[in-house]
Amino acid sequence: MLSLRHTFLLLPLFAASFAAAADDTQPSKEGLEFFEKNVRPILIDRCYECHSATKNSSKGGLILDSRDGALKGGDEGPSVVPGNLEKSLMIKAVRYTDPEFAMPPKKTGGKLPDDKIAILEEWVKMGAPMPMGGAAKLTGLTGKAREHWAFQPVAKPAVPEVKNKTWVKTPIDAFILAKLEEKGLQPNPTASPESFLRRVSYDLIGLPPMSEQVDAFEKAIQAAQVADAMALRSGKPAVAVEAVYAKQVDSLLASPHYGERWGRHWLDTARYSDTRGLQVDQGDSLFRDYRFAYAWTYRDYVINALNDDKPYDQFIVEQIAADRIPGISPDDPRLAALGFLTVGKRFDDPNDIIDERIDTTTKAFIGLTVSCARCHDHKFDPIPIKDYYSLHGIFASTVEPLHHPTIAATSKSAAAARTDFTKRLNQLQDEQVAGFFRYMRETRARYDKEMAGRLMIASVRRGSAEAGDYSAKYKIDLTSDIDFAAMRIQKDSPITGPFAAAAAVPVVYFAERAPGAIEESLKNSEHPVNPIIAAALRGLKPKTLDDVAAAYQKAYNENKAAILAHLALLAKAGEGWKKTSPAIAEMTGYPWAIPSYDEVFDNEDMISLFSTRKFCADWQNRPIYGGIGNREPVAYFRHTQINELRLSHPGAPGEAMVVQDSESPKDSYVFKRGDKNNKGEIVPRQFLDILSKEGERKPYVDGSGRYEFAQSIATKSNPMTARVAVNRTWMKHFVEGFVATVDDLGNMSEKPSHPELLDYLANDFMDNGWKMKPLHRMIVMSNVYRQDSDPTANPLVAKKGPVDPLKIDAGNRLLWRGNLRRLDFESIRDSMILLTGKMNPLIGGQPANITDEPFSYRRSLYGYVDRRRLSDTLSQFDYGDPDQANSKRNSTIVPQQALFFMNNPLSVEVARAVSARKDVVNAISEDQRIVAMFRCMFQRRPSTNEIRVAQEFLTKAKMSVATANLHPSVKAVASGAKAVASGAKVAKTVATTTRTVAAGAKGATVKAPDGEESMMMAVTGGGAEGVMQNVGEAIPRTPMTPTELLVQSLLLSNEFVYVN
Amino acid sequence: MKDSSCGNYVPTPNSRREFLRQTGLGMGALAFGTMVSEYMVSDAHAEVMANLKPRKAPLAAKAKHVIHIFAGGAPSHLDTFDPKPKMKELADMSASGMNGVLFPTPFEFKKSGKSGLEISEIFPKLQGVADEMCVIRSLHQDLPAHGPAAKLMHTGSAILSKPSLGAWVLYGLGTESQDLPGFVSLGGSSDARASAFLPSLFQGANTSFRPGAPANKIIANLQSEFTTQDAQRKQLDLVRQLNERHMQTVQKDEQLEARIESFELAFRMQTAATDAFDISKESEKTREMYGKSDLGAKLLCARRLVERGVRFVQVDAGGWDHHTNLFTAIAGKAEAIDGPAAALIADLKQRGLLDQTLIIWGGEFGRTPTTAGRVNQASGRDHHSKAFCCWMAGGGVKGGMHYGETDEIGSQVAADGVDVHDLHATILRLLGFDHTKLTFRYNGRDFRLTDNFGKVVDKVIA
Repeated sequence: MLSLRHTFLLLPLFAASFAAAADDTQPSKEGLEFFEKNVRPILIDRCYECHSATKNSSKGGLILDSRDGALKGGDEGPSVVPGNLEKSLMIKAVRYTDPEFAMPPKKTGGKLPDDKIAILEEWVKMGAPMPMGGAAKLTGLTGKAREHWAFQPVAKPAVPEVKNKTWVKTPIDAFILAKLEEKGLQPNPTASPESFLRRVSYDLIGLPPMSEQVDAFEKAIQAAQVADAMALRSGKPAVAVEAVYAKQVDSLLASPHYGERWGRHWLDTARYSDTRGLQVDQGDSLFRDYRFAYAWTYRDYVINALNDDKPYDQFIVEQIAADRIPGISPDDPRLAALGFLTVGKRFDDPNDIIDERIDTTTKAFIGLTVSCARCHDHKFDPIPIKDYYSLHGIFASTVEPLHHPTIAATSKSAAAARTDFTKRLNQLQDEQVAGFFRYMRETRARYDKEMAGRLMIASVRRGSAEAGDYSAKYKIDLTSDIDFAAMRIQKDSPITGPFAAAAAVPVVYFAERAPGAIEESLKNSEHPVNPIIAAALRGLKPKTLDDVAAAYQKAYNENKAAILAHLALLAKAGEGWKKTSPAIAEMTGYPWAIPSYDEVFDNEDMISLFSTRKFCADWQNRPIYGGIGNREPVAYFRHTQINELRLSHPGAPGEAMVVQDSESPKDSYVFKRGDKNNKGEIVPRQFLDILSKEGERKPYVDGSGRYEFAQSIATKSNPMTARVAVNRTWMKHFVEGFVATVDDLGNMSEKPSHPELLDYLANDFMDNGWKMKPLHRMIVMSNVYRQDSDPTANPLVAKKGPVDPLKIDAGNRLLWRGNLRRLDFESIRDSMILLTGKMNPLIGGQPANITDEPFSYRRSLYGYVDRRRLSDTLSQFDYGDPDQANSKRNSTIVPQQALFFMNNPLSVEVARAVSARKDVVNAISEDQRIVAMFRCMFQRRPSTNEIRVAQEFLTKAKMSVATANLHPSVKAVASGAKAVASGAKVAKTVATTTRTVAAGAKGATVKAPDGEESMMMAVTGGGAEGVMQNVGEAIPRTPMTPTELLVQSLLLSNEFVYVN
Repeated sequence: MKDSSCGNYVPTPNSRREFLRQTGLGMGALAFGTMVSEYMVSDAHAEVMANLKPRKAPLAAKAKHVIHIFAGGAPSHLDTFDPKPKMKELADMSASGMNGVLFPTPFEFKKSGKSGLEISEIFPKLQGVADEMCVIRSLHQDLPAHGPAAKLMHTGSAILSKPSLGAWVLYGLGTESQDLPGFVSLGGSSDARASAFLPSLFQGANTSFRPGAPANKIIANLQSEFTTQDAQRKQLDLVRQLNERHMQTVQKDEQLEARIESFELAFRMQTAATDAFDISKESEKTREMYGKSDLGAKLLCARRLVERGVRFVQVDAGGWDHHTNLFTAIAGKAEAIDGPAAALIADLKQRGLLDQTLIIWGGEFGRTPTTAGRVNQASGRDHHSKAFCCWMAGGGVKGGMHYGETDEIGSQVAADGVDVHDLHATILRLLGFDHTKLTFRYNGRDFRLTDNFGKVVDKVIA
């Protein structure tokens, strides 16, 4: 009843197509009266809750508020066949003859009264008269849905003519202005150079200009204006000012920070996270850490791709199928692009993982919500459920290898760091293997001692009363070892064969017949019984099955030393274990086959072994799991610590989170209603019908089909791809895209505000070789982009004439002015980090904690993103939900943001750093000091009035600080804190590797065994919180000075976080 | 909205600016808000602000606040609120389709109060307030695994990232609290306070409440460790002057005013939250009544928050995963919540707040009627999601009744099944919402808490 993925809330869609009804005769008046009087009330009362278009519900695909709906029926077929009671599923359902197919359901009141059933039968016999019309089904599979603009080829609109030709600098200006003129609107004047510089800097690199840069830019503009004036006077074109703008824009686009800024935007779309999202106690995560050690290599790939202005079509292909690019080398850095598929959230059911990948891929690249077609045809777009399973087949034929390739470009860390990493890794792996064998030894010793009791318990039904009796008799706790299936009492087993034979003898004849049965089984030549066991049983005259079990016990007791000796050999490198006698080796391998040291030394090999089918079969109840609720065995393993080492050690080589095609790619079945146990037809792996040219859709034949799929997306003939990319880029420059829902350009989206411009840019983008930087350049060099954001600056607003832009277009969809916008979290924090003067210039690398003390001075996109538990700071500042593709962020204001600016130590550090700047400290007067602060914080000079209020503040604050009473909590912290100098160096401290033992358990902090100084900059773990912590010093808890308080006030002001 | 015919409930079609004008800017108005960009796509491109302004629910209802006590780990229904007298005779027998043997509860149930609502002896104090309680015995769902099931209970979805119940309630009703967050979470997982695609305005404020803990440890950044409130007041006065100048030079925008307001709220919150979380201000008698345990303190704190207008309080009270040693373990858990929960009901009632405060207690699923082997002191129950229970009190719920039935061994729902969506639909109805109409448009779709499921259980509504 619960579908694991969404079925969307449905809107009534009256305009859907009318399915051809089998019977289209006009109903008689009497018939209609009968329906309205007798049948409709039943439907309203008992059926429409789930089967009504107007109620937005069509369970099982069935709606009953139209005749077409009833006749066409739902997933099971026609609900009503006029005149035919037996074929009408509705009648079958209401009769309650088949409990699996009974309606209305029990929980909504159960079976209809007999008289109502009779009415329905009567109605069907009458030919099911019902008013004509109404939709038969909520579906996007209609001609109208196919006509949606976004599915049509990208047009090549001509640049429109406008009246105000002098305003047009780029084709963008012409398109925008044409619409404005159409409405009688006029564009805003140009923003000041300093406003432009702040705007374009944040837009392109996510950082503000420093005051020196503003000075230089303003000077250059002024000089250029003089040059232009002179040029005009001498009849030459005025190009100098534009050249200054262009140079500034080009230098920003050339900055490596550009890739960081736009890379972060893409990571929102790609739902980037450093963790898998699974609960620790679910699935295989006892063996796989919940963190991705190498998600960052994907993040770095994105940054580099943008900085290199990699053509977007290649960018697409690499992220979906880099591994299939012809001739790609096994360590090619482009392989990291596949992180696009693999950094998503993980689920227990592989179909949920596939769904997550379909969802992200289709939203990101083609702006469609294909995942909606997992359970039924898409309700609004022409995407049949079959198309969903065509893509399902591609991803179902895609696997993740356990060993990731080390990619060349990221393997340049210093040799010493690398050596240290390798040493630690081997140490952990060694510890892990030792722990594994120690655990096996302890477990074996215990199990072997309890062999008789375990055999007896395993011989009766699981959890039965008899099991309880044996548990009491043999003193074996059933609850700690829930499952005894591993004992495998089977007649073909070399160990338990004879026991199985004896257990099959009825109790009353046991003494009489068991010896024969055992004797017989010892003769089994096809599956010979283990010679030691055989010897122990030969000639045995058991009275009860317990006597047989006792013989096994005796055999295991007598060979205990030999079994443990064999285990000890297995625990050593090399092949010494091969010398053990086969009989002892076989006894050691019961009930669990034990691998050798060499087979499990490598961490991935061990995980692999635990994941193979054979191993799972052998280890039915893996002793490593040790029963539900028993987390103790995990302590013997080091998967978590190994992953943590890879995630945080500076010498760890970068690995690409790749996928590969499975050895035998398969088409998928349609899962009816999304239920994997309800298989429909098989559908070929191929592209979506709606985006394929008629007659050109062909099944994919190359491996999983991923490479072909990627090419189906990254092609000029795909109408969505370029539009989606251009629309998203436009949004990040103008707050809104042409289409506001940037990840969905389907039928549910609004019409674009400027469809012609969208197509013009999409065409231009493709013609320019799918390069992003020319697109940015065209946008930010336009007059549209350069407009002032103040509405009152508009000539029409100022004029207060009959045409009021504020009435005609209050939301500024037509772009008659610039848009004021608030900085996103990354820009706010990055600005703060920049102002501390400590920003770490490194591009790329392992993640850091960007919200907690001790602070990291890396840019925010290098933050460790834990999708299981997103940092409160991030979620309070509208950070994108890392669980799904989400290209657009909200802009919310909550008081917790204010508390962050007011009270977070980072805010204090900024205030201290700015107060300590040379231009502030060395200012010749207090006025000049205030000027320097404003220039640093806002990239502008203060007004006289602002200087005055700032001075007044300083005077008041000096008095206040002199008589200060700190919060009691402050005092406590201040007295306990170490007094360290501001700007203390990142200290090297002893590594504290913590590990998460289990959900809810407290993580134990364990000192590194060798006690050496760590090279790590960050450690992860921290128990259930799983927080990554940086290594370093906290900000000293000393009272702020009046100057610092003033700087902090500037940080609190609106101007700091808004761009106009 | 794009389509007025879809009947979506849009909480505040009036602009925030208008609201500010009505209430007087800066006079304690709840002025922070968000620009919900998807609302901007309407024909008129009108800006609709989603905000925290208190608003009336569209339907008549009593409940105005919610205290959700989440008993994570999945409490056994058979030992708490769903009596199965006939099972006594079936001990140690096997049941078809189930592992293990039948395990009748070791506890006696008592017909309590005037209503005779049956409650297990492990809740002696709740027995005393039985007439206020409505037990739903016929909850069921399909996921007997803690993580997904708890997520389902909190958000209506086991897999997808969806807003929590509290976030939806805050979205629908706004908050009356002038200087506290409208949705406070006292511990628990992030699912329980998630806003997902709803603006983060509606997410639960994460707190690590412990009695006596310093305020900064309860809410991050709550107080400055570097200066005084007096200096901060002066800072905010300066900031206001700077902001006024800034607003004269840029596009007029509600967000600018809202942000100014958010600092004032934050400033007040420093004191107000510190006060709200300080249960030492309660009388000794009241503290005795709730008991001096952590859970008692949490519920007392929840009452203080509700009293101050907080809309939704999420309380984490887990630890019910009794696979073994059920006899003693569940009795201990029950004792820990019994006194505080009974005190909460009684206390709210004596303060006249019970009618408007809906209390919900329950976990993510139930436990098996069977145990492995013979029943003994070490016996426990495994996960079971086909039948479980919860109780509600106050907020317009019919007291002294139970709803729904399970079969003789409490294994399956026998009548009046209530799934998690039904429960959510009912909770929303108690707060005055038609669950099909409290929607939010995201990525071109209208989402709701109950997805396209949910049926209100009218019979539990007074």
